[in-house]
Amino acid sequence: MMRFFKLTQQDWEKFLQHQSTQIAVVSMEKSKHPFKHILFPPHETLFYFRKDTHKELSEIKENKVLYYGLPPCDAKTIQLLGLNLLADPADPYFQTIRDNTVIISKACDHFEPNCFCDQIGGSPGALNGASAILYTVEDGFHLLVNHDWLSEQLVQMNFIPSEVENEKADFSKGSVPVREIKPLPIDHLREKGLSTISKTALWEKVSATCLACGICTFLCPACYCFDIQDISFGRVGKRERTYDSCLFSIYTTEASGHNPRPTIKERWRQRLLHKFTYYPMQYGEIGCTGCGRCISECPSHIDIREVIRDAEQYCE
Amino acid sequence: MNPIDHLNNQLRELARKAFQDNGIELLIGYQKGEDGITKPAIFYSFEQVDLLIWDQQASFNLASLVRRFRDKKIGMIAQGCVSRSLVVLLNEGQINRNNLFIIGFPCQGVVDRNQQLHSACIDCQHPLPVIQDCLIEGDGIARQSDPANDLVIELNNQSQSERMAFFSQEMKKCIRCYACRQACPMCYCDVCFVDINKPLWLARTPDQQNNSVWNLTRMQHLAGRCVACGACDRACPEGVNLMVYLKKMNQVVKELYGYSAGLHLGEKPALNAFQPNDPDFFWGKEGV
Repeated sequence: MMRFFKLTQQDWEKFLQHQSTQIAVVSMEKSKHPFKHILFPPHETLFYFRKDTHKELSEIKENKVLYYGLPPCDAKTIQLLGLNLLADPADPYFQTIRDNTVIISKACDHFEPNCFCDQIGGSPGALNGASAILYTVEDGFHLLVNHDWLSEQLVQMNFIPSEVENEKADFSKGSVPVREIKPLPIDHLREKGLSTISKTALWEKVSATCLACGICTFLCPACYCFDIQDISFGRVGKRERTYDSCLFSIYTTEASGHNPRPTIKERWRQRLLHKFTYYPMQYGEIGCTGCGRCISECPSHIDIREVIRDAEQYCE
Repeated sequence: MNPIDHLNNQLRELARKAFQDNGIELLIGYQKGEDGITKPAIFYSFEQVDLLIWDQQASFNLASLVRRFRDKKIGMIAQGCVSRSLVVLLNEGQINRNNLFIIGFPCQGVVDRNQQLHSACIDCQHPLPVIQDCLIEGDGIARQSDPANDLVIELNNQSQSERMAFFSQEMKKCIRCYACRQACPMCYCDVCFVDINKPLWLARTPDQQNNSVWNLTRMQHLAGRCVACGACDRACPEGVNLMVYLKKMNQVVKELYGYSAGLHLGEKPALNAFQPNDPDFFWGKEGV
C-alpha cells in the first residue's frame, strides 16, 4: 500500500539516525557504478565444495540494508533484474539480497548530458522499483512509500501518513525537472524489431567502431548475463558467478568451437534487440533505464540513442 | 582562424582528395557525437568527409580499427602514436601498406576523462607521424615529463612492498571488461588466453589475484610492441593506471635492446629478433 509522508530536514535526519541503530544504512548517489553491483554483484561465490563429500559448505545469509539517495534509474534495476532472475525458478542468491534491500531513491534535480530516461517513457521522479522515493521540496521532503516495513517504521516514529488516493498525484510539487525533448522511437523496435535482424547494413554501420569490450554491459543496470565457473584447489573448490557480456566472442562459442555470432555486428544486434525487442516480448518492459552509462563510458563513444534512431529506419 | 580549425580544414581537404585521387574506399577518422564528444567514425564517401574532425578529445587510437577493414583500400588520419601503431602492425604482417593511405598531421596531445593532458602525452617524443602519404605541415608538441611528478621515477625509488601496495590497489579496481585489450591496436589475437575455458586458463573472477595475472600477461605480450599511445588507459572505465607500467616496460625494453616500437618499417620487434650481442644477461654472459 502506498503512503505519503511530509518530512522536515530534521525529521529525515532523525529517521536515518534511528534506522542506523538497527540496520545498515548506506548513502548513495548516481555514480559510474550502477546499483546492480550491489543487488547482483560482479562476482559472488555461490558455494564451496569438497570432492569426496560433495557437500555444499555455505548457506546464503544476508542482513537488511537501507540504501538512500540513489536516482530512480538505479532503482529501476530492482524491477528489471527481477523480471528475469525471479522468474520461476527464482535465483535464490539474488532473491536473498533483494528481499533484504530497502531502497529510498531520490528524485533527480537535473539531467546530465547523457541522461535519457524521459526519452524512453521514464521520469527522473518515478518510483520505479524503489521502496520509497524522496522529493526535495521547498519546506523539506516529500516521501512516497511503497513498502510495508518502511511505512511501519515511519509510523512508529510518529510521522503521520496520508493515504495515497491517486497514484498520479504530483507528490514532487514540481521539483522534478521536465524538458522539451523528442522521445526515442522505442515503439518501433518493440513492435517491429524482429524485422531488422536481416538488415546487415544497419548492424555493420552500428558496429563499425565498436571494440566489443564489455563496459556497456558491465555497467548497464539491466544486463544480467552471467557465467559460472568451478575453481578448484586440489580436493576443495568453489563455484563462482561472474558477469558475462554478449559482446565477448566466448559468450556464444559452442563446445565444437563454432560461434553463431562470429563478428561484432551479430553481437551488437543481440545487445540492442535484447533490450528493446526481446525484453518487451518476454516481460513487457524494455531492458533499459535511460541512465546513459553505456554512452558516457564507451571508449568509442557509441551513442545508443543514435543507434535506436538508426534502427527505426530499418523497421518494416 | 584558430589552429585546430585550420588543421581540420586541411584534414578535410586532404581526405576529399584521397577519395578523389587515391581511390580509397573508406576513411577512418573522428566525428562529433550528439553529446559533443569526439568519437571514431568511418566515412564511406566524399560527401561524408564534411563531418571529419580532430581535436584533443579524440582519445581513441584509430589503428585498432584498421585490421577489420584490411581487405579494403583504407584512408586514415594519423598522428605520431597512431602511425607508430600502424608501423608495428605492418612489421607484424597484419596489414598491407599498399592498402593504406595515411594522412599525417602534427599532434597537440589528447586529454583524459578529466580533461587533463593524458599521462601518455606528457612525455610524448613523437608528435609527428613516422610514416605518411601526405603530411599537414606544422609542429606537434613534443614534451618532456617533469621528473618531480613522474610516477615511474617515483615508483622506481620506492621499496618493493610500497610498489606492491600500489600495484595491488590498482589491480583491485579492474572489472575485467577487457576494454584495455579491445582498445589496444596491438592486442589483435584471434583468441585471447582469457577467452579459453577448455581448459580454463584464468578464472573470470575480478579479484586482485586474477586481475593481476590478466594485466601482467597483457603487458608482457606488449613488451617491445607497445607504442605508449595510452588508448588502453583512456578506455579503462575504472581508471586503472596502466600507463605507468607500460612506460616502465618500454623503458626496460629500451635499456636492454635499445629498441622503441614502431619507429622504423621493416624492423623486427625486439623480442622476435636475435643478435649475437644480445644484452639479455641470462644468455650466457653474466648469468652463467
